[in-house]
Amino acid sequence: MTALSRLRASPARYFLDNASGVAAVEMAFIAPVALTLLCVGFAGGQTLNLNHKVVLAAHSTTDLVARSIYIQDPNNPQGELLGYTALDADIAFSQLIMYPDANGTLTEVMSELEVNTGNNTGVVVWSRPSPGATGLPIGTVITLDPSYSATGANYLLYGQVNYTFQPLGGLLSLPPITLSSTETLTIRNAPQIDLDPNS
Amino acid sequence: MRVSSFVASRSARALARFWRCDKGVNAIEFAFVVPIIIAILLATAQVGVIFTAQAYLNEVAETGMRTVLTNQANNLTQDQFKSAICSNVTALFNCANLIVELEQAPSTAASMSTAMPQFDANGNLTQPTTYTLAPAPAQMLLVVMYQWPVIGGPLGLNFGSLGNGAYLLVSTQVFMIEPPT
Repeated sequence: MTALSRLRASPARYFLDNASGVAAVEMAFIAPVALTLLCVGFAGGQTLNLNHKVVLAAHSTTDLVARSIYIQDPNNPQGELLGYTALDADIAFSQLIMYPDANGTLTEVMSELEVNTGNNTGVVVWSRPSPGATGLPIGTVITLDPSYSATGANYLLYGQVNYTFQPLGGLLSLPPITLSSTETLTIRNAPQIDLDPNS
Repeated sequence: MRVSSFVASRSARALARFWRCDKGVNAIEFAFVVPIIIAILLATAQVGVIFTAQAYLNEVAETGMRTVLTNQANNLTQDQFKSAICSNVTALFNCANLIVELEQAPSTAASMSTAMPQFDANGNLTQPTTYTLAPAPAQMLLVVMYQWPVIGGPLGLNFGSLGNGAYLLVSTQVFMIEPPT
C-alpha cells in the first residue's frame, strides 16, 4: 500500500501516523511561547528603566525648584520669588532625564501645597504644568503622609511626573503604559515660594 | 543517444530515491528551525545584558554627579573627570568608549533640545562633548552615554538604535552644585 493510497483511505489516520516534520511542528508550538517570553522580557526591562527615569525626573526637578536661589518677595516677608522662566526650565529638565525615550508623552506638574497639620493634608496654592499638561486647581486638597506634617513646614513642593509610552515601540498591539511618580519636598531657602508674575 | 537516455534514466532514479529517502530528516528539519532558535536565544540574552548595563550606567552617572555636586571635581580637567568616572567602571563597559558631557544646565525650557549630545547617521558624535564647571549654586547637567554593541541575530532581530547598529544607553543627571563649606 503506497503512501498516497493510505492517505486516500484514511486521511486522519495517515496524518496521525506520519512523523515527518516533527521538529517543525514542535517548533511551531514552542516559538510563540519563546517569542512571548522575549517580548515580555524586553517590555519589562524597558518599563523598569523608564520607571527609574520617571522617579529620577520627579525627584530632580522638584529638588531643583525647592532649592531655587533666594530672592526676597517684597510683598511677603516669608516668601521667595521664583520666575516663570526659571520654573519652566526646571520642569523641562525632565525631558533631558527621559532622553532618548522621546516616543512617549511626558507631562509634569509642579505645585506648592499649604500644609494643614490637623488632618495631614495639603492645599494647592499654585500649580504650574508643563506644555500639554493640566495644573492642579488652586484649593485642591492632597492627602499627605504624616511625616510631612512632622517636619513643621507650612508649605511643601509637590512634583508629579507622568510618562505614557507604547511598550516595544508599538511593534505589538500592547496597551500603552503610564508610569507616574510624585515627589514631596520641603522648600530649602525660604518658608514659601511665590511665583513672580513679572518674569 | 543510448548514452544520454541511460544518463537521464539514472538521474531520474537517483532523484526518485532521494525523494523517497527519509534519512537525515531530523537534521534537515533542525536546519530549518535552528535560525529561529538562535535568533530568540540571542535576542533574549542581549535584552538581559542591555538592561543590566543600563542600570549599571545609572549608578556610574550618579557617582559622577555626586563628585561634581560635592565640589570634588572643581580642580579636575575633562580627562581627569572622565578617569574619575571610569574608576567606578569595573566591568561591562570599555572606558574609552564612554561619552561624558558636563555643562551648565539650560536656563530656558526652549533650549532643552540642543543640550544633549547628538549623533550622525553613522553613530558618531556631531560635536565634541563639552566639559564646563560653574561655581555653586549653578544647575548642572551631566550626561553619561555608552554605545552598546548589539549583535544582529538572524531573521532581522536587532535592538540597535543608532546608525551604526549600537544601542544607545543614556543616563542624565540634573543637579545643583552645593556651596563649598
